[in-house]
Amino acid sequence: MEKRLGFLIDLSKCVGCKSCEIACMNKHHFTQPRYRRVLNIGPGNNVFEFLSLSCNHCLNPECIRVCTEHCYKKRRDGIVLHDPARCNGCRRCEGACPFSVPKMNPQTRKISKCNFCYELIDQGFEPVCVSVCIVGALRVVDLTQPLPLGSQKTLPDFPMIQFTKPSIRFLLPNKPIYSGRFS
Amino acid sequence: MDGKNGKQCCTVQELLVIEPLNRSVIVAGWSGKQRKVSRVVGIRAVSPTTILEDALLIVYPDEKLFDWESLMALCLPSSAAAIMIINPQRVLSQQLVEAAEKYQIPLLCHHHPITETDAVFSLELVFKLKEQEKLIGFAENSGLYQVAVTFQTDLPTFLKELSMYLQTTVILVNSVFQILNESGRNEKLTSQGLERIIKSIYQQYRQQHDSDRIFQNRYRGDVCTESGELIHYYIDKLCTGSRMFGFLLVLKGGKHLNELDLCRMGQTSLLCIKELINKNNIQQIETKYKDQFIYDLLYNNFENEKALIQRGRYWGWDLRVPQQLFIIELDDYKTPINKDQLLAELTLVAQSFLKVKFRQFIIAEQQEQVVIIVPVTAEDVKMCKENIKNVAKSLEDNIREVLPDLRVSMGIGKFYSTGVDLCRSYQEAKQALELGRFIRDKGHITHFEDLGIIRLLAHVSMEQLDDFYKEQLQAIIDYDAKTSTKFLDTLQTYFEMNGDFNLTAEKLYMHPNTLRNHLKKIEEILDVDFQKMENLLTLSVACKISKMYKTSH
Repeated sequence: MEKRLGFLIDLSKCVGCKSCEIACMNKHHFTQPRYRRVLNIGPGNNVFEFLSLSCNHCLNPECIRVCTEHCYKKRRDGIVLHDPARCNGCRRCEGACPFSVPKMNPQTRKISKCNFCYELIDQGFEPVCVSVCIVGALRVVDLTQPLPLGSQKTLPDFPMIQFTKPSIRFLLPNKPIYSGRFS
Repeated sequence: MDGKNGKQCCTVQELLVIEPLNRSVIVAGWSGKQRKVSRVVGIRAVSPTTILEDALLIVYPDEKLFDWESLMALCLPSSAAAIMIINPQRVLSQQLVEAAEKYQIPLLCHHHPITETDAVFSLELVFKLKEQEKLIGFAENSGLYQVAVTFQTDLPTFLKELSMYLQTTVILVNSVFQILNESGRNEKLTSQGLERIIKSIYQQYRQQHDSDRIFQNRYRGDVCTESGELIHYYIDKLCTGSRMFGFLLVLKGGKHLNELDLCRMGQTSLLCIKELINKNNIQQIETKYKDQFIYDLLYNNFENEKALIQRGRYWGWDLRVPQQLFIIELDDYKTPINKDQLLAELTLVAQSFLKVKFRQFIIAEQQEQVVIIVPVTAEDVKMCKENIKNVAKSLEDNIREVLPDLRVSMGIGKFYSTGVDLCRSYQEAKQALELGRFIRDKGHITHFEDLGIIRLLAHVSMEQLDDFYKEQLQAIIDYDAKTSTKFLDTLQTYFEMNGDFNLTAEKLYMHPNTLRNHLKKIEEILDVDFQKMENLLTLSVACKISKMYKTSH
């Protein structure tokens, strides 16, 4: 494998502005289904902790395994693509994906999912969700290369299936340092 | 040092260490390499009555003086130390070669013009070096042998040259001691016999040098043939840095190799390394392209089936026939440093095993696993699951035999009749391998269809699974912790043995009645009834999750 592109999410930087989500929707010209979603994963509403999720472009994609029509393929750079021309809308992949990423497009009656903005990647640009992230919380990384210190495969208290080996890494928020004086 | 008459002398082998004599080609009679040389005599000074003892006889065939070959035939019985022919214009007669072999007089050819004075100078230099005990060091470091054979850049030539020089069998083997090339094998020694010898050498090598494999470059030892003959063996490790190419092996019956023989062996090893690096580089480029194709094959990176078959044909693979896929992964390795090396060795072993079983197969390293794709014949289709499991089992046995320190696990995908479905089979094999670890011990061979309920459990997050199994089994875990019993293990083994009392009791080394009592106690603790199917199913799943939990932590 030459490359294994994936997303690195820095939870200490994400402010939950949803610009990634909106940019993705804007690029793909429809409102449903959403390829990217920003979740509030903080305990209760006291702490702001946001997580931006889309297709994880897994190393062992379940979608490839279950699709009888061979709609899915994984490019040499690790991007998992869906070919709607072959799709018969059986929705097997929808149920098989542990992250419920493939979604039925009600207009076309075919499955669609995040394609990592591969046409931008091929031109040397970043996916729209990454390029619009003004705080730099969302990044594209090559998982075959050394990653930033502290990057993790899982999040504490956030269940995540690991057997498909999702191409996503997290940087956890540091403990806030308060240098002032409590009155 | 001194000859019979108190003169300084050296052996023919020693004389050939020095430039320009080291460029000589040995034609025949090399078994007489230990003959003593104390002087150099030109052919012009020779008559049939001349005594040539201890003399290196130099012949210039271009001098049209007389029939030198007949004169030499006469001279051979007079026990000259060696005969060197300068620039031979034609092929030497068979009679002459046979006579040299018979009288064990080295017959050498030199393809560059040298004079008698040059030869005398070389001889005196050898005397001096011997006197100061620097001859061996000189031979080791001269590097002239490499220059001499620079233009002969193929491995068989190097091995043939060395086997002629050492008058014995020379073998080049890969890192797991599989023969790549050989030269000078005795007719008495069959190829099966040779393989047996190499196998026992390999076992000795692994046993004796396992701890210091990285540091030593030459090993020697003895091995007995089936006929009881003792053979000395010498092994040169062919490696540069962390790259391992194989071993150069010399088998020698009777006497040991002398220092000069070992020098030549070392120089041949260097040449072999150089040649193997070249070959390896070419192979790496080919492998890169091949791996890309296999990646595309395994991840459905094709426009359609026709394109897939077409591209497969470039690599000599007929993807129209049904194929079956399985993958191998190392269970554990001592240090991550040698992981690549171990994977390469594993691939080599699997490759040589499959060569015997299949006419066509695909093998490649992908993501630190070895992927194997083998064709399925029309008759096999019904039995393909059992057949592929048997192939995997015998391959595992073979790996254990050749690489006893290595533990591997295998995952097998489902059978599909078309090549485009190999991508599905690959994902299944990976899942079987990954999830097989949860239900089986290390070194397992798991077929995707044998995974059972684990396939569904894998889709549930670990936290939810953790909650479920603790709900069901927490009472027994607490009881075990309090009383130091092993009821959880008992329950797990009971389910693993399909509820067979005798088998479970045997596995746990206890009497079946004791087991019955334990299970009764477990029923009490958990407040369940083992007669109810529902309870059994729930506990069985909880036990599986418990094992999954243990494996993943």
